[in-house]
Amino acid sequence: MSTPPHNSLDLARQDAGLSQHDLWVRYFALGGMTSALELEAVCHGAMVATDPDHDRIAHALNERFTELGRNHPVPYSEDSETAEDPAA
Amino acid sequence: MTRAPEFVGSVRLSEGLALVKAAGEIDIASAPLLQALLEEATAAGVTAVVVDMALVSFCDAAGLGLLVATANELREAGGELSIRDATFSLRKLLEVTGLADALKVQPATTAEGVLSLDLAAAALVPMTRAVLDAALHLVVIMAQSVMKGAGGVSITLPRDGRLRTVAASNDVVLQMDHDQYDTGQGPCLDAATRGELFNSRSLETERRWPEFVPRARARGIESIMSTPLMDSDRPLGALNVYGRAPDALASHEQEWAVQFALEASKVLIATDPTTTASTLDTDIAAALHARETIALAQGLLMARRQMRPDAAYRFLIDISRRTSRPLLGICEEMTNAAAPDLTVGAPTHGVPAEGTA
Repeated sequence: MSTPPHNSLDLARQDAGLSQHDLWVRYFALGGMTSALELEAVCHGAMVATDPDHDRIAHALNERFTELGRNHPVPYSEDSETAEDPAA
Repeated sequence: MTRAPEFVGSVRLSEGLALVKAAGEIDIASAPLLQALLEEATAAGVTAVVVDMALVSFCDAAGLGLLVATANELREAGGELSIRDATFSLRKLLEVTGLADALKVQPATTAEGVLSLDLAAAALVPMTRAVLDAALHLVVIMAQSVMKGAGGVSITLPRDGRLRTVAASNDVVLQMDHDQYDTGQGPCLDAATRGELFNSRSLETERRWPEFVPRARARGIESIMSTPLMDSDRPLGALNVYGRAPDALASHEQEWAVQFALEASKVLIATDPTTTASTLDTDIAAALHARETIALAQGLLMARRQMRPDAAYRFLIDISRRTSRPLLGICEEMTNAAAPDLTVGAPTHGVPAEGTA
């Protein structure tokens, strides 16, 4: 089964070793106003986040990757204007 | 989800006073709409203009500039402009930029207006004891920031069979509460257990709590007002306001203390006791605190660099990306540098004049 690009955020979440709840708490701390259920839908590509909200999710994941000694693999909204490949 | 910036407003005139109600985001795009409302208000010949900001989620430099300009015009004509019910974030922004005095920021007529946004955020998360405490902490910080006479504010609740301080605006009030628990006497114990208001306007002549009072005065406290938190007739706890001088609280501040106690009571009543006894979710409480700090840093950038909310947020994220440092740490540094004693008093300098980003 090929990986739909829409769920790349959820793949990144799994890669970062975060539960759905962990990610939501981190996203909420960064000022997010979306409920945990909606965030899950966004991560799976069932809903589309606004750019600022996408950046909150991306940054929550990237801060976790930094803790793990890795770079910032999840692209931000600005990045997608120049590069479309979300692969870490 | 974030919506497109929106702004709506209205003007109501009555007996020489104009009430301008604003809602939404005030930025370079919507500032002309606010300007039209302010012109309508001043054109009617009134000298007192009150701008109700309870529903304003953001106000950038364009909006602040407009308010200051109108305030100056009114002052020259012998009138004044005041801001009512600014949200917590906006209020802090006004304090940090030194505009709180220039714009005559009225403390909230009800605590509801200023608390609404942050309590709405709290409603997104399950109400654990930690979340409840974070909400009560917000009430305490808010009360401290609007009551100039308050040297400190705390909330006392029964926990695990005894009274404890669940929120305190500074260490001195925390110690003061402990003095009452140690001696088994004091206004906050009496208010929390008897459900009555205790207002001791001068501890020098206070005879009711002989063991506690000398300890309080040794800590520099000279007056205390403890208002009970109530669910109908049942006392739930107490909101305590400490003053560093006799009669520290003006009469209107005493009324606000009662209002804040009502707000804290509502939070408690809305909380299911079975859920508050559940496992502490300190992560969520920390997240609520982080949000507040990040929003404040965002507001600082908006005011000082004339940035729109999204641009300010992206600016902060860019720093975090470049330095591989957590966003919260960066925002903490920024807000600490801007206002090391934010809860003590507003700086008196004028509008910061930094260049745009």
